[in-house]
Amino acid sequence: MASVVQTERYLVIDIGHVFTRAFLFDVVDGRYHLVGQSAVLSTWEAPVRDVREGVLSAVEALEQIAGLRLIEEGDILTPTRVTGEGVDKVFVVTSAGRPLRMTLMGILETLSLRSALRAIEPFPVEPVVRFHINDGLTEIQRLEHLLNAAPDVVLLVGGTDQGARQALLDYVHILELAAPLFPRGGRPVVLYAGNAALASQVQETLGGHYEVLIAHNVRPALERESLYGLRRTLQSLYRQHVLRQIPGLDGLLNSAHGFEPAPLAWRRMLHVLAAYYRGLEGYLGVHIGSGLSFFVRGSEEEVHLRCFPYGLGHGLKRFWEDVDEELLRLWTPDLKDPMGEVLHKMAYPELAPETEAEAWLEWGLAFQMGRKMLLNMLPSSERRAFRRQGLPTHYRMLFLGGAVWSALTRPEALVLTALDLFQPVGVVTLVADVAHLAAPLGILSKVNPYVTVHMLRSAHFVPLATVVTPWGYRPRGRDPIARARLQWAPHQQMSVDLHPGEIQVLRLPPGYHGDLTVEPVGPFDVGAGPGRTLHQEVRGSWLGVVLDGRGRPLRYPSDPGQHREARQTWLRALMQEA
Amino acid sequence: MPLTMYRPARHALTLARVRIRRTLSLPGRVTVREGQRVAPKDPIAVRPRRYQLHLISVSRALRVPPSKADAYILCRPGQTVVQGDVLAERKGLFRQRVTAPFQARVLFVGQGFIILQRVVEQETLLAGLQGDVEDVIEDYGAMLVGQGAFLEGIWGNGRVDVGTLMPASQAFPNGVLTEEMLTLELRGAVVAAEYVADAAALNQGQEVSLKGLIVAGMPPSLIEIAQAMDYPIIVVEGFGLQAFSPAALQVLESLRQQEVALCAVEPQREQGIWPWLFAPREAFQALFPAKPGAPLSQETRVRILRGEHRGRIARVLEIEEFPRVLPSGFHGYMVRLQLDGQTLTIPVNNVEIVG
Repeated sequence: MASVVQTERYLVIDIGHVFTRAFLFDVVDGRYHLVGQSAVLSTWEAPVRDVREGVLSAVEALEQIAGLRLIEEGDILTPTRVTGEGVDKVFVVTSAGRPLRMTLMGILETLSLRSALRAIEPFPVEPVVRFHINDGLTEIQRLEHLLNAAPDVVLLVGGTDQGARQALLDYVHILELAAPLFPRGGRPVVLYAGNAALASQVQETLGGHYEVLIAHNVRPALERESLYGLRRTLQSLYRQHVLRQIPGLDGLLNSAHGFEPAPLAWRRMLHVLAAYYRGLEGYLGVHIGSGLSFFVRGSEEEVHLRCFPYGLGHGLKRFWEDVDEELLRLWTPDLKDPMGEVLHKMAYPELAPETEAEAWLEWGLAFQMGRKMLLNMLPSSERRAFRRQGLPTHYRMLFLGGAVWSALTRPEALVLTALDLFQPVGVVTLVADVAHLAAPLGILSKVNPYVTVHMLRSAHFVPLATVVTPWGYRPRGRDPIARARLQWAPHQQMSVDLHPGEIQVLRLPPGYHGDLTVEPVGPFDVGAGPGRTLHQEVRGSWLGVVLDGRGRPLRYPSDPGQHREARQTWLRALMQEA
Repeated sequence: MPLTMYRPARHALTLARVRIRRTLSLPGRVTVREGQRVAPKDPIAVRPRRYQLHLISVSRALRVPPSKADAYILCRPGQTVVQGDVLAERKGLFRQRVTAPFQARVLFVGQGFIILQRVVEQETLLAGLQGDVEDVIEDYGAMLVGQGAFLEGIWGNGRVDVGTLMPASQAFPNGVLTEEMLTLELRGAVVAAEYVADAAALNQGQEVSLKGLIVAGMPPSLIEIAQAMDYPIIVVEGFGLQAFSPAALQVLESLRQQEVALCAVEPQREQGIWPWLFAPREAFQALFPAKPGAPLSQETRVRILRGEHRGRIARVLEIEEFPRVLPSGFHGYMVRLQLDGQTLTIPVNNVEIVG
């Protein structure tokens, strides 16, 4: 067991588009605990337009919950007083504000531009225009596009070190021409991460017109990609952008000990969770926020994070054209006008679901957004496989983040939505960030890993379910496709037969461990190889072990009535006591 | 101790002092000065939205080698030229000239080329109300103040215009706006109706040159068509079949046959800006300014934004001290409201202040 060597008390503020959350972590009985958390409406927009007001409200609420004074004269009390009041350190994560608008200029689409796109993935960036030498555009057209795009940042990449020069100088010339045409105060920052031999020339030529930042070449050699330097520069650039976007954040950060964009902190924590849940062979995480969503695809070797500029509130407008109206109607049979509700939510992004029908609207939209992100994030071979037979079996942990996935009053709805979204195959652990802790713990893990380690075993990261999905079978009639048995105490066991098209559940409450045996009836694969019986130790979770016999890819009845009936049957199956 | 919970306000006021921040989406040029009087359709700031560039090969036009062409060019970068202005000239027996094909700015001169740049689309920010420029916001716009009737909606199609407010029919405020109701007598009017249901009615509005349409509700399927209309359209209450709230109705009734301005801007959450109707009115006393929002407190009048009571106006009794979890899974603070003698509890998120 990890022992505590640092015993500081931490306050983490997470500023989202809709909610500002405050989390207090402290040592109790030799271990770090979440002593309290609060969430109030964010105040970065009108009428307040000062993020600090919401932060103070959130900390006030935390004072009430924790019974501890944390504010003095309108400021957060740091460091901890001898009387025990206050906190030692304050950290801030945020996903609020609009994404950075970026124009990308590269030489080859398949080399430098691809590296640049990979480098910007973890940041809330909206690439508005891309140029490369084979884009078929003349210099004049590029200039036109550049001016019309009105970007916040121009990212110029290309050429290996000591390699191509002329194409880059052509771009520099375009930027030079464009400089006087950008309005005062509207000139973009130029970020150069190309051929290092040209860096000083770029700085010299453009420095009089623009703020020029130089980062390491993203492609120093043809066979080598180097993203770290550009990402570091982007992080500080993003920080400046956020400070401009979110009134009052500047003042807050003056008294904070650390700041990080929420997606980066979230990614770090997700990797730790994947290690804890034995998911490092492959894991996926989707976070759907109000104005920004992000997706992580990771494994022991690599982690990919990508931000998407849409969400269920402030970012709904950027997803409006992608909404599949017919599908949304199938998910929301109790709403008279789901598209009207979507528009209403665009006008009032902070609206909270009060009824089950309204909650299904959010889950239905989350499903559509999540699916779009998933298809975007899977490598092309896996994407093709996903369409044919569901998610590849090496993905062992699926993680869900954002307010839409925190409805623990309806775990069966969350599980069904996640199963439909990811269509996992084999054995996977499904975890939801119900307490919104992933980003706060992600930033703390840089400072004090004990907080993260201790919190892993808390109730906040209890999985929603362990899901077992047989595959490779052709259902015949009503014969069972698998028999499952769960032994959770020496003389306590339960078993079920799984038939094609149905979902079965073996309850194993949080805190328990059990031995699961799943025996395929036929040459099917239940996660141990074709025809082989699966033996696995499983942890307790909100729903227990979910056996999904609906096949892959999932096929839904096209008739709305039948569709609704099928969903109700699956939900009942997930809810019922085994 | 109850927490401070700020909520935005949407106004329905028969007489108020209105302060509105009108800004461009990106920096541009402000065309008004502090203290200036403005009318609703006066531009207060402009910004080129789309540029077009035009390349002229001087060496080809004057039939000289590129290396020698620059010597014949008469214009300089940054210079503004109008159609017909001489950009380059080769004198001699066979005098040849290159002239500007349109009004433009000279962007580049060299290597035998001239690049002209012209603005083909401009974002023009109109005042949207009759009032005064209180303050200029450098490069972006201005803070405007006016006094009069003020009604904010939740959606607008981006247009601004002025006309006489007319109810769509005798049945107003009830009823659906139909194509037949929009007769030529309504030319130049701003029409108020409870609901518009089909594209034909919107198109007819264009035919008869309406100066605006203000409705309580509209189906989502009409958004694209509404956006294509030349006259401003404001949806006041929400999408789908909606009725005007009593407060909105009071404003509209008080303005029958009076000139009103519709500024159907897209809502800007950060700034607290909603599309609005404004009609200037004399005030004989100091007016309270319409605020973009305030903390919720006992007695605050709020509009319910979701659920079976959506659109109804209620009174705040209290904000619950601790957050709660609803059956939908939502976890947050609740506000207790008084509505027609009954008490109901809903998330703080789901109300806005009635200004």
